[in-house]
Amino acid sequence: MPRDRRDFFYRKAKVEGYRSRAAFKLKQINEKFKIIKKGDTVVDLGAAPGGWLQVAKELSGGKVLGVDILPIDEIEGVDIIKGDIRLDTTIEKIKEKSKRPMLLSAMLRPTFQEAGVMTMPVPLTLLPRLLSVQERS
Amino acid sequence: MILLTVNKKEEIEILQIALEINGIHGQLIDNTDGKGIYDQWIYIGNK
Repeated sequence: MPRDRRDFFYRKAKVEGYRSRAAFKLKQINEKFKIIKKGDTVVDLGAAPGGWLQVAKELSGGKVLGVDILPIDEIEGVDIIKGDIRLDTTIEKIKEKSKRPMLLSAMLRPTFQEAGVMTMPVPLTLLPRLLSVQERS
Repeated sequence: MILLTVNKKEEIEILQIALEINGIHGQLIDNTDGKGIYDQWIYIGNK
């Protein structure tokens, strides 16, 4: 993204009280695709600093939960778990706090290193465990 | 439902395969346009 657009969204986030310009990304996606609806339970994996959480709460008004290994400052009406999503203990906490949530994530992504080596913040082998938070308990 | 965003098409394609293996079926969306912010490749899936 060109620097002037980055700066524009950075300033816009500051003015409108969002924690990151990512807030506008989720807003734009939802305007187009109507993914988050009123009353939805939403879990954001890798949620810090919380821009998506702010927007998810606005859009759903329902249960919203943010999970990150990094600290997230409180957001009114939003639950926060500070934990590593690669750990079973964190997965269990997510299950305790949300029932069949919609999952959002901008961090669940592969990264390509030189020589074609791919790394991910969450190994692909752990995906089933992570996705289990959407199953009925 | 699951919503993922990434920067590149090849990233989202890998995720789609991994999710398919785990029983999640969905669509890749090229949401790139001049007005977008970043990470405009989107995956929307359902079990």
